[in-house]
Amino acid sequence: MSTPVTTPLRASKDAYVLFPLGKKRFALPASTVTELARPDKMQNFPHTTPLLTGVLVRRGHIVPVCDVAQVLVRPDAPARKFYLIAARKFESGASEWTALPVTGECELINAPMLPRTGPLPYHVTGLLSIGNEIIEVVNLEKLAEGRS
Amino acid sequence: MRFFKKEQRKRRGNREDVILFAVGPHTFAIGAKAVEKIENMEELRPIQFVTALPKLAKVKHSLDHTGKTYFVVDASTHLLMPPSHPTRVLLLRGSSIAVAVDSIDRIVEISAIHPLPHAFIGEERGWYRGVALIQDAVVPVVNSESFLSAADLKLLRAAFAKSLHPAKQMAGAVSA
Repeated sequence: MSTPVTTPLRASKDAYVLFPLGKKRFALPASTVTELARPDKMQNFPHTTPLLTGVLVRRGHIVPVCDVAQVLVRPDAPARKFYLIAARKFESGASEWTALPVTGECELINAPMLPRTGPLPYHVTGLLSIGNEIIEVVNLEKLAEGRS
Repeated sequence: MRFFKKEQRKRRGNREDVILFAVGPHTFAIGAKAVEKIENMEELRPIQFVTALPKLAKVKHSLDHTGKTYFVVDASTHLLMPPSHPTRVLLLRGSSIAVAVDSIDRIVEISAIHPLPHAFIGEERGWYRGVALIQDAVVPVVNSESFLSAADLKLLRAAFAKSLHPAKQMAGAVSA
């Protein structure tokens, strides 16, 4: 069973999907997120691309699974329970779905993004201030490069 | 008759017969037309000279078949997998290359080969033609031309010929 992200909030430029990796949460622009999927059978085959751990078959698409937890939280990454499916763009102009393993349910919010301040990882495009929490907004394309 | 054959080709579309084989825990496919014959391992001879060609360490044996010498690529080494236990050899059509695999499963007809997702950017882009969906399983379809390049074959043939005639090399050295 999957949860499509299709509420009116999604249309706003300030709409983000918050996803958890252990105790920390991160955000993706809602416009890039397709769905949150329950654990599905991930399949693997030999390859040499970093961060990719396998593929899923979703609605007839072959979706690569990109374990971004290795970049975002490193050794603290707990077991992933869901797959957040988001659109990833490539330099060639192509776009395809990518599955990001996450550790819990996601949340759709509307909040203005604050600009980057101070030394932040390469893949962080801005920050969200939600209550007492500062959440990093990540760029999926830069995240998938595996640089920190 | 020509119209009938054209219609048959249209219906067949992208359908292709592939041979499913296993290497370690993974299943792969290779176009059936790319394989001339499947042999067992009995006639394989170990190749000694590859220690001088470390980049060709995946070629561990040679096989003589119908007057031709095949260079046998170990599939698990080629695919950067842990060593496995090959029991079958695929002789590739129109080349001097054979591939040692663990087992042969069956021949199936696939309706399409899906491109490898753009996210894959490593050596697998050369290893595979794409992936096939076979009964919900994602099976990589190997590129039969990826096992050895023309340059690799040239190196192998030269080293193989040298290894067969060491006495000539020695005589040449003495007379010089």
